[in-house]
Amino acid sequence: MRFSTGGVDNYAPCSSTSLSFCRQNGRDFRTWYQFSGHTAVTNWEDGDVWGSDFRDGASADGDPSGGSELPQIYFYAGHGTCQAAPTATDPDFISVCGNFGAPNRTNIGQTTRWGNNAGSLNFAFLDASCPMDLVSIGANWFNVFLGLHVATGHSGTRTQDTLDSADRASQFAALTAGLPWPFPTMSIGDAWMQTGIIDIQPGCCAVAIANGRDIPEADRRVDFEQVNSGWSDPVGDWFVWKWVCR
Amino acid sequence: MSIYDQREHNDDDTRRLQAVGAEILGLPLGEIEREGTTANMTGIQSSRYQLTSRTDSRTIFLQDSEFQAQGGVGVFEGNDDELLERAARILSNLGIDEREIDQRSVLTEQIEAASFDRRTGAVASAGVRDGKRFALLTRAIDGIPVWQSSVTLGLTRDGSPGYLHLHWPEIERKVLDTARGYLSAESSGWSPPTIDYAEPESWRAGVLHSPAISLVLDQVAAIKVIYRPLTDEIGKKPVRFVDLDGRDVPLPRHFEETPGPVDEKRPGANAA
Repeated sequence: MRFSTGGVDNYAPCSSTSLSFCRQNGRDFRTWYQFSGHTAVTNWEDGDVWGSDFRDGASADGDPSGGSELPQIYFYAGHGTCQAAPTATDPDFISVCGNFGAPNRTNIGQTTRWGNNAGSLNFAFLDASCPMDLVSIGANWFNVFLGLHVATGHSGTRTQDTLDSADRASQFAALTAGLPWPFPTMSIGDAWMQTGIIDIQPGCCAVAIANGRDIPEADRRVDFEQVNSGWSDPVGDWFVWKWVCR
Repeated sequence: MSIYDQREHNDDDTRRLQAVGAEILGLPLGEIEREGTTANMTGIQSSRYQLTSRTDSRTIFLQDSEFQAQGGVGVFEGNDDELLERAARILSNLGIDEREIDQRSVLTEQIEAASFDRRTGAVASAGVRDGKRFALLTRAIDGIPVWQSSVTLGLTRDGSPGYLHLHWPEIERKVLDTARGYLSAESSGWSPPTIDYAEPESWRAGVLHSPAISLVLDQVAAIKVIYRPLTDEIGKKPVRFVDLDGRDVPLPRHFEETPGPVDEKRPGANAA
């Protein structure tokens, strides 16, 4: 499978607090995936990760220099945006600090569409703050799936947030990449339920969502689909998501 | 690309894992269909179970292919205390002092389904149901947290282990002694290092070690400082691991050689 990573630590140019481990998260993800035989497409860091990479369009998520629709798997580590008390109509965000492709904040529900047009993204892994709030998951995420199989993220608030973590991404990558036996391997959904709760505050939740033509298919994807499963793109308007909270 | 030194599998590995499966976990492993070692992971597999352990750490992974939230052999329906007790007993059966258990909690997956009308945006929920349940134990030695150590245990409906993730490495005395020295940061007038656009929210002395799936096992004492962003626009709380002088400590590795960046300047980027 082809994969890309985007890891952003340096938010100083955007007058926001910087992080310490997100670039390394991308490098660790890349190492485990390459070790398992996957092919890296792009591995951009800091300002080279653009807001437009996550917005729908040929010159945005289809941008040949690093759009998120180029690979089949995209892993992002960096900031998101949390509300104090999110409601069903609040947006979810990916927040980068790019040297191009403004604006830096991407409203996922309004502008992110994955798997459409010539895009090939099957799996979107977001290691950020609150990119998948449970209360607003229908408003923000159902429209995103246009061929996308499974996505992972967190649900939380400003006081129930994800922490910058040296381990969470690496462990998720190790469990999903399909490392040589007898390394343990899990489905995407199960791996995120185990590793997405690493280094998060009480009340924060790890969330995985899948699409399908009916509940059994979406169930099967969220419970069993692995990056190496080779399953065809989902076609349908049913969603199943599961979550576990600290 | 090889990022590890290959060690030959031997019969002792298999016998040791069979003993863990039978005597510690109480599993009916049955016929072993596969056995082998890759890097620091050694494993055995039967028609139903895969049991893997690290060769350089007290680390065990168990996967039961029949352990599913729906179908399969089902999920344990007993009470939380029973589930937690089973997890603690696995540690004690491994010879680990139960006094090292810090927090005990039970986590339950929740699952929801909904249909979506892409034309109108209408969402119709089919309801929420419970998924798998897990006991989660965290670790502290004499009150000093060991952040990456944990036990996660899921039981099947009949009470046999369906999932286990146990990572509880032995901690060197000198690392613990250093961590004890850092405890003064929690009670004195110690000030964490400052960072831009965030303020310290909390800090605590403890021990860090390499995570469960890693090709090396490092450990280090540190003061973990969590920061609260001052701007509402962004989240993910910054974290730093420092010593009493506020200097970043070298973090435990995941690989023999920590991976660096690969891509050059992105085409089309604005000049810095």
